[in-house]
Order: sequence, then C-alpha cells, then structure tokens
Amino acid sequence: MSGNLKWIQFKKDTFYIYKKYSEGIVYSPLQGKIFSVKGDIRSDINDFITSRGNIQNSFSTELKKSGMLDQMDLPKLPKLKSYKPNVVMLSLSNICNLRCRYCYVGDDNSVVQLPLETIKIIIDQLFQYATETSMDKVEICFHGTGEALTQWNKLVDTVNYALHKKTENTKIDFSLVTNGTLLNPERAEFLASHDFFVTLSMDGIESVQNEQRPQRDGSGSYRYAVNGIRYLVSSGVSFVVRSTVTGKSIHLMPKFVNLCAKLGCKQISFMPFSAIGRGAVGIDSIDPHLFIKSYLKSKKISKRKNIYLSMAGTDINKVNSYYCGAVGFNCVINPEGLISTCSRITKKSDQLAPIFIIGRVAERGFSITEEKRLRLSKLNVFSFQECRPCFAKYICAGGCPHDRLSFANENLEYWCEIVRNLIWYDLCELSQIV
Amino acid sequence: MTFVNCRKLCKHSQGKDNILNIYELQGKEVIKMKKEKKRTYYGKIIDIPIKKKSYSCKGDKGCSCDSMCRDCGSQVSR
Repeated sequence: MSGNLKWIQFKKDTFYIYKKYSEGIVYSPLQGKIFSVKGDIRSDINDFITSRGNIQNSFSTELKKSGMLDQMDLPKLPKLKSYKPNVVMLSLSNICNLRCRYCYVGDDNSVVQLPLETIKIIIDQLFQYATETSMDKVEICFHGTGEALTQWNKLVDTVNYALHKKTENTKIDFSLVTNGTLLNPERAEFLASHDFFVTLSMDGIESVQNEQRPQRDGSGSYRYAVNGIRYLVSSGVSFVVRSTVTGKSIHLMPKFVNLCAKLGCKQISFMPFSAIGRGAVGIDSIDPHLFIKSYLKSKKISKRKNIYLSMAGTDINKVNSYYCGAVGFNCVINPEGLISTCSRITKKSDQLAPIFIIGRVAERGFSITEEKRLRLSKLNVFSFQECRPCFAKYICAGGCPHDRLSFANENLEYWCEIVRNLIWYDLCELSQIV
Repeated sequence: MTFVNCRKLCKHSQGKDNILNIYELQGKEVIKMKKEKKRTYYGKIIDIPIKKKSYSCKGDKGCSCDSMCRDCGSQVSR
C-alpha cells in the first residue's frame, strides 16, 4: 500500500492506522490486538470520540467484540531498585583492528586497557550481587570500545576466572560482540565450548564491507569477516549478524541477506547508522523510504531462507516504556574502569559521559552515584512529549536514548518514519490486507 | 460536531440517500445534505502475543527482553 501513513488515536491505547481512508487497521498495541477495516470509518470514529465511547454502531460493536475496550495497564516505568546488576558488559580495551567509517567511538589514538586485576574485582562484585539477590545466573558480555578479540588472552583469562569463581548453583552466560575478523578455528571452538552467543558486526556484500569497515591500513576486511562467520558456523556457535546500514548500502541489503544465507547465518539485525563519532560527517544519510523498501524486500528473502531478520524497536510482540537498559540498569565497564549504562560511552571525555557514567570500579567493588542513576530513569517514553500521539510509542519506546540526547530530539524523524512503517507492514501482513 | 473537510464531503455526497448533518466551518448555518454510507467490512480479530519479560536472554530464544541495544543488538534483561 503506497502513500503516507496516517493514524487517529481514539482511545488511550487504540489507533486507526491507514494509508487510504477506505482501508486500514484498528490496532491496540497494549492489548496486542488488531482488525482490518474496509470502508471509511472516520465518521464512526468521530462519533465514538465525541460520545466518549458511548455510542452503538458497527464500529463500537467490533471494538467491544475485540476486547480493545477493556482496561489495560500501561507498560511499567523503569523500576530502579538498588544497583546490583547480574549482567556486565566489559570493554577490554579501546584497541581496534578496523577503522569503520561511522564508528561511534570516534578518533582516539591513545591506548587504554582494562587490567585483569580490575576485571577480577568486577567478577567478584558480580557474584556478590548474585548472592545478595539470590540470582542463579550471571552474564558476562565482551563488548566494544575496541575489538574484544584483540585482547584474546585476556578474554580467555576472564572466562577462566569467572568459571573458577562461580558457585555450583550459579550459571554463567557468556556473550561477545565482535567484528569477527580475528576469529580462527581454535577461537571459534573456545566460544562454542563455553556456549557463547556472538553478535558479529558485518555490513554487507564485499564492496560495502570493504568501504564501510576497512582495516586500520585501509585494506578491506570482507574476507576476514566472512571467514569469521564460517568458523562460527562450523563450530556450531549461536550468533547474529548485526549490520549497520548507510545511504550507500541501503539498496544492497537484500543481496546481503542472500550472502548470509549462503554462509549459514540464522539471524540478521539491520540498523540505520547514527551520525555520531566518526559517522558525524561524510556518511551518506538514510532515506527512510528507501530503507523501508529495502528492509521489506530483505525480509521476504530472509523468510524464504529461514533467517530471522529484525531491527531493534520494531517488534510488535514487545511493549515497553523504555528502549534499553541505559535508563539505569545496564552495567557497561569501559577500559578506564568507568561504569556507564550505555555502551556508546567509551571514555570519560565523551559528550554524554556526564549523563550515562554512574560510577567506577574501585578497589573494593563498584562505587555508584545512585542519584545519577535515578535521573536516567526519566529517559522513558512517558517523558517524551513528541511520542505521545504515536501508535508505535510502546513498541520503539522512544528509540535509543543516546541518539535522542545526541541530537536533542531533533533528528529523529527518519527513525520514526522507519519504525512506524515497519510496524505497519507487520500489521498489514498479519491482517492480510497487503 | 465539526467535520473539518465538510466542503469536500458535500461535493462527494451529492444525490445520495442517507442524511447527514454538516456544520459549516466558516458560518453558523446547518446544511442538510445527502451522503451515501458505504458498507464497512471488518476483518478477523487477530491476537498479537505480547511476550512476557524473562529473567535473562541472549536474544536467541525469541523471548521478550528489556534491552535492545542498537549497536550490538544485545538483548539482556535483569
């Protein structure tokens, strides 16, 4: 269905969404219900609104039948109990073997590494929290700033220390975010034997990957990333390919899905790039409608190939009042030993560091400024005035808080356009009106 | 009741059976006019399962998670 997306909110959580008046969808995100409509129901909706729902017509009858008139609780606000996370994201260093054109880390030639002694303090603290909160599971995620696999020995030492410290009743999950280019069969085997879940960043077919994610010396990284995927597949490691889309790579998304299928990938996550860090200048911007078109085409292919394709913030099966744990839950530890709630804060000098850094790793464990953490809980969809009328607000929950603050809420139109349309097409597919 | 596009509605409704009251936006006069009311068809009511939050997830189990980091896609929850 072509044309611009429009919608009418006629109840707190219920919307009529359409591209042309004569065909649309009544949608209640919180109730998790939809039904399609053929025919112009604008006057029925108007009557429904003006009578405050006290009217009998075919539309109100249908609403009642659907259960959309039932009371529904709004998604809960972030509940910030005392800070005792059971998941930590560790940035082992700021060293990276690639120089991705849009990297949020920006240009920084200094070398900072998270010492193993600090890592031990972190792991001890993690297990102490697990004991205090009676959690039977903790997770250690090896994350960016730099590429985690440049610190392979330290990664292995961390895993071994965590396993050594774990009690009989505590389970540890490991995960890794990597560019995949430094994988080899032995490393993949190690990841498999420790049941790692891997997020491998790769942007596209050869020309795209080499252009957007070159190595430090400027040469292409494509063949190394592809090899990395092959090693993960042959070792049986669960992984998702995470692909950043720029204006240059939009139209090649479907080809990338085909490539991933050939390589044996089962999950792909697309995300438009953010104009921050190195990506603030010189990257072709995203045309939202081209992105939507290409994403939908990719989705069709992925279905045929039995690949799960997703984009964060567009899953209609999930409703939430906040986008991610940056609202005060996450525990991301950067190479300087600073604790932030957002993985995009890579150093103290980052513009948004004063907002997201909530503490540091001290000699005896975490030192947290609770007041700062509590302030972060305001980054929820109920605080965003511009989200109030939107039918997608509980699905995308206002989008990435870091993006919102970076662009002072001014550069979100293309994100909103993409999110709404992808949700709309999912709803259309469900109700079979496309 | 106010129909914002009443002039347009009048034009499209000429010669039809059902009577609808339209309030002119720019005047106070009530115009009675005829409008055809086409039949509306409602599709089947479809449930979208809303996944409940789980304690923890690596994003590979299809369960609902609190977190959806845009940079790593990591999907961990508390």
